[in-house]
Amino acid sequence: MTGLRGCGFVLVVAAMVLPWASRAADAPLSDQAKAFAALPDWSGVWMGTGTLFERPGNPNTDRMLRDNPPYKPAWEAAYSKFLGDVVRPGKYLDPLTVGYPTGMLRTMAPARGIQFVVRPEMVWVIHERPDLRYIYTDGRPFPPKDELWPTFEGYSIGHWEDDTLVVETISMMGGVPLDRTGLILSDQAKATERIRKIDARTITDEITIEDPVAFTRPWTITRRYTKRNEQYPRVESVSSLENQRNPVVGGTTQILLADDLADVNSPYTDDLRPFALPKMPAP
Amino acid sequence: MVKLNVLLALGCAALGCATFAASPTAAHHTASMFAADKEIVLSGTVKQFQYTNPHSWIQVLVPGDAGAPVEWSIETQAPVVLLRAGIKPTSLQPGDKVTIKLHPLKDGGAGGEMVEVTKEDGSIISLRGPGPN
Repeated sequence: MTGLRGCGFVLVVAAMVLPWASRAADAPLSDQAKAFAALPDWSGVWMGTGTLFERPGNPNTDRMLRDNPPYKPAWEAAYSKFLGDVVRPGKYLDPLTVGYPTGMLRTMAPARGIQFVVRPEMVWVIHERPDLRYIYTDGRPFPPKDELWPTFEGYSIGHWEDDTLVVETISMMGGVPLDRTGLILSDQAKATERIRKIDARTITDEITIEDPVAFTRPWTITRRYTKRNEQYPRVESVSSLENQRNPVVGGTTQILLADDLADVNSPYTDDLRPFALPKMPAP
Repeated sequence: MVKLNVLLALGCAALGCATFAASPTAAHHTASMFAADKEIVLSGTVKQFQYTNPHSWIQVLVPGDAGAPVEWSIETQAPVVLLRAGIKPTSLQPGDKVTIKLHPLKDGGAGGEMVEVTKEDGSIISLRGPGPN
């Protein structure tokens, strides 16, 4: 009897435990976990490769190059004049130099590294410049017109088509340069991107820009990003202000040499010097 | 700014004013203050390596014509770019004897844009690497 009772106890316990153990092995994922599991893995640090917007190489030579968007004649004439009068003589003041955001679409043409943080409701593109771009993938529509205003990054809504992130961006501030030649769009431009990981080390972004004010037709370019292959890739924010020795004076970029640095003072009295950053200039 | 036109001219002549090949990365401010078509070579002693954003700077004391050393300011890239080229904050130390190849300032000031640095042990620091990726 004892043996039977013991056997019965085992069976009872097994009947209680086994279903639980089975559920633990293939426990149903939470809705949030399912949503994450369905997303592609774009982890890592990615570097822009040769590009239309931001050519690699020495700006002293490459500034002679230019992109060729399908500008309307008046825009082409203005861009050509800007290249001749400002860019080629080396007088161009790149807003990045003085701390402005990168701005769409230049965010997708990084001279430094970028990261894609892919979440179910949003994708963040983090730029080392530094800059941050938000792409909403939570199913929302664009806001009504009276809740939109021009911004450097615009307003981006995305959705997934299998492993491709399709993004539409509107409300981008006109006149924000797309590259070092000063190429610009109007504030009516719209960008449609198809971002996809095509192999373990390559992501591509096919960007079609429509600009009814500046362009005669849509302009499509493709950006490529290559994954850095270190085991522990390093990412750094590049502040424009930390040790800015190229101030812009009267529209011309200067260089602070050793003698000029002696003129950089603390904004406070000497005994309060620790409260100022090392390179903070006097106000 | 200290004028060292004689030194610049000598360095330029010694190099034949070679045209510089494109560097792998580019500064975001206009580089029009640098003579991209000229290279000069300086020998001196590192005073300070400013491993800083948005650009790093090598402060080098170079023997001057009048006897007193002249402090040169040699601009190069942001730390993260240097690191990826294998150049670390410790790669240049105060007191290091170096030979620096640079694009000089057009106005003859004591500054320029780094091309490469050769240390006393023969090792070379440049944006071409070596470095990961």
